[in-house]
Amino acid sequence: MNEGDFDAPPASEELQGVLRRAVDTMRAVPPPAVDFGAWQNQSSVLVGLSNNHFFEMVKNMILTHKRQSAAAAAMVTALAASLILYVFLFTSSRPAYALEQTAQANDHVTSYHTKIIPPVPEGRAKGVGESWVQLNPDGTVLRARVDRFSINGDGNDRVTFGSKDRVEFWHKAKNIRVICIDKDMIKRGLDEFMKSRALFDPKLAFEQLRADEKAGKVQVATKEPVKEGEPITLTVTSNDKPDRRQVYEIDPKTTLVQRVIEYRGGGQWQQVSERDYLDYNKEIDPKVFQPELPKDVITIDQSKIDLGKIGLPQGNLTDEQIATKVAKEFFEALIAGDYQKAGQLDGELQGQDFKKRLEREQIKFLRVVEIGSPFHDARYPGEVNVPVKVEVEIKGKKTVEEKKLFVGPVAKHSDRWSIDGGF
Amino acid sequence: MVDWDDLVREHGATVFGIAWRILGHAQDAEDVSQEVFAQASRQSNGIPVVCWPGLLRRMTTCRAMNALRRRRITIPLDCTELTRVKDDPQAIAAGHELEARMRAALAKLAPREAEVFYLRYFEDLSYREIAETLGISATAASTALYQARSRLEKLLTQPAKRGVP
Repeated sequence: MNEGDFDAPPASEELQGVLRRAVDTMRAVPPPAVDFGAWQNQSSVLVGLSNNHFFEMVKNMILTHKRQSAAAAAMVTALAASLILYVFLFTSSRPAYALEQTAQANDHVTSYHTKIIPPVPEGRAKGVGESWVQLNPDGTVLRARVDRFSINGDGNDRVTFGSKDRVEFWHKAKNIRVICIDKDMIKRGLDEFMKSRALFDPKLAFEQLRADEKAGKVQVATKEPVKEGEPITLTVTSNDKPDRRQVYEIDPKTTLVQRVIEYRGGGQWQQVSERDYLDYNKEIDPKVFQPELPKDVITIDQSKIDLGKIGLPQGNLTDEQIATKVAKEFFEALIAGDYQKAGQLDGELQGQDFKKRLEREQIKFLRVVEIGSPFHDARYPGEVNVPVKVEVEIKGKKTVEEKKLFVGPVAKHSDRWSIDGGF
Repeated sequence: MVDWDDLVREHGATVFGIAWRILGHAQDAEDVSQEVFAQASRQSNGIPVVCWPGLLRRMTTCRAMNALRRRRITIPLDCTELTRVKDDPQAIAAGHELEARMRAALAKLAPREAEVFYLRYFEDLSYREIAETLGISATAASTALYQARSRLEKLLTQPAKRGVP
């Protein structure tokens, strides 16, 4: 950015720094790939017909086509008779469904188990997310578990356990479990969790639907079941985005949502996602919230880490100098087998856990080949990225690996610097 | 009327990129992008467009800023913040929080201020280019940026002093 052509007073140094970090952070993440070919001109809009529209259409047909052929008249009459029969058979046995019924049923939900399924074959079996939530009598979350699966096989499967005063992450591929006890981290973890809850929580989703319907943002067409065992279906079409459609399937007995399927396209509808509400009000097995983790899981328990002793003091060194020093001493410690020191510089894995992880993955650090120029990484403000080439032996095979180590100030002890985010 | 497919093929990535940076949400960015193309396609009916990139940039910036002001706080369906790039939850939360604060602050600016700020800081446009893009004078662009930064200073730097990254 060139400030030279700016007539107004320049921004303060502090503001300029904050703006630069924020802008760099927002720029750093590239846009996701988009199939532009799938975009359709919104001038072609499909208009859905509700039951009322259908009755109106039949009435108009009868009124305006009375002079047409006898066959056409007979067809219209038969159609109308079928509709009357349908209304008699399937709406006279119980009151017509209304959204309020599901809203009221949601108030009595004490627990639920849901799954989000993407419309791809590999996702069908596994889903992208699954949750078990147990609620307090006032509807707030007592405890919850959210599993996120990666369908592209990048090994980022993760399980999160949350309750009022504890948040745990279990990274399946690395088989590392992190227990957060720091209040700020719990708050952040819970905030993240509560945001993701909106994806799973049937009550939140349905309240949104009701609000949108009340505000006239969506049209809801209700179809009562024709046969025993069929769900009530609500077809929800957005007025603003007519190329979007959601179909809610409601259990006629409990009036709770069983499934929500999202479609895109307008005319040629394509399924985008599916949310299945598998169980309501069933007692959740305690093992769901406290599963038996693999025996060799490495646990990083914050309550056992003295943050005041983590890392190295910065002293008079610049950010780049202290970051380089931490990186260099960290690898030297690993090469020398001094896991105590490596753990102290890492700030997460401690002493014997380091040894355990390296032995499990059969990694030996042999020598530091080169330490490159450290640089500030826009994605992680305040931290310094140190590129390091190091010779390692992985499962008996020697190779030179290029590592980018993030080094930054220790939480609540910003005069000390340690490795952040592992290696 | 301009050919929809040609328009999207040629400018889709640019339009989507702008919307993505402002909104940080793929589905919302797609919505805005499609609305922009639909509007541009309608507006161009019978009226020759001299500079498509400029028109689309202006329309996308304005619409995305409107969407930012309107929207509720949501997260993407894939919800992968916790599994992105690094594993440290605190680092992820810090980066995420900075983005969120910036977007929240942009949403509080007046529409013109937010548009000028975006074009200046994210698109690196000069004042003359901003003026041409938005159809205003360079002085008006400069004034809007000054006001935007004054408001952002209040919105962004004060919480930072309390230790938020």
